[in-house]
Amino acid sequence: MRKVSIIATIVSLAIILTVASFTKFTPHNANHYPLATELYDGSANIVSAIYLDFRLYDTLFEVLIFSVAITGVSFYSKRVKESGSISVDKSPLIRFELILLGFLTLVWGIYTAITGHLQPGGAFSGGAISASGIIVLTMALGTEKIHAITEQFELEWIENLVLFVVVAYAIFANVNGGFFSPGFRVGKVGQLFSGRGALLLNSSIGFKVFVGGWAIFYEFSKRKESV
Amino acid sequence: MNLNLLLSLMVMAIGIVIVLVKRDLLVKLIGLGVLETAVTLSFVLVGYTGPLPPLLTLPIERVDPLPQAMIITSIVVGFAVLALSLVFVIYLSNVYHTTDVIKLIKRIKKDER
Repeated sequence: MRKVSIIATIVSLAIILTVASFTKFTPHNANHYPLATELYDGSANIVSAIYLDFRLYDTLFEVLIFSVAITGVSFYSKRVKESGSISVDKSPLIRFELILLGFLTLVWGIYTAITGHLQPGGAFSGGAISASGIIVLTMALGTEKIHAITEQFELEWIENLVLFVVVAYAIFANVNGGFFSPGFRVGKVGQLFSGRGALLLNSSIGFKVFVGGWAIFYEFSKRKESV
Repeated sequence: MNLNLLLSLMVMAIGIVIVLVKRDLLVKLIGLGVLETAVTLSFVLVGYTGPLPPLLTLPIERVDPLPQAMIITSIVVGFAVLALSLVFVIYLSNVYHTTDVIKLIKRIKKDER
């Protein structure tokens, strides 16, 4: 074991030194994407323009990976026995504040996802914020209530549907130049309906990340004491 | 020699060493998290061309938007890998009652006999 650790340290240090000494950062043309965004996309957030427009297939397969992970989590966690639950705080004041905080976090995440093309933020961060709102609500209401709500929805089915929204958008974007044709609903920079399909994609992907995070948290919180 | 890049690569090396050397599966996952965070850090460093966020409404001293757009993919993939591997660790520890790699190998071989 000691030999392995020494060899690993030496090899990684050697890789670091060679990479760091041969790398030179020349100031490259950082104005390429801002100009393209202004002309062809129209969303104020350049990062959103890149991952929802210029590199849409990147996002598509990212969403696919997320789906696969959630399907795997809910498939393999069925083989583990359920045990443990999250206890609720006894003080009613703290519970009330947690409920308030949870709903606030939920709404904030939705806002972040929907206005992802106008300001810093976006679908993935908004969905993650909303999912953490569900965690706060679980601390306030206890696992029984939240699990009863969760079992009404088929979470994995719902979040897999969003994949087809993105695939359909990508297909329609390529039919006769569709969404990718110059001038299609570019809109004015800073308006809500700008950046081509940014509103549709941001809200659907944000919803998917929210539901996926909720599903993962649900499966883990059901098996809290099984490690 | 770029000092910022060197330091972020050092954090990356710490992650690699944790993944290779430590015997506990959960500690290995933490090392993987350190590795991914260091990759994110180095990408952010490469894209740092100005102090402002990449919004069109702001003046031209913004950061380069491309590394930030790529690192979103990295963060989501890291989250997916972490969730999936945690489920595998829970399953293994449920069956073999340990998260130590060497003990796991011994018990799996014992089962195969």
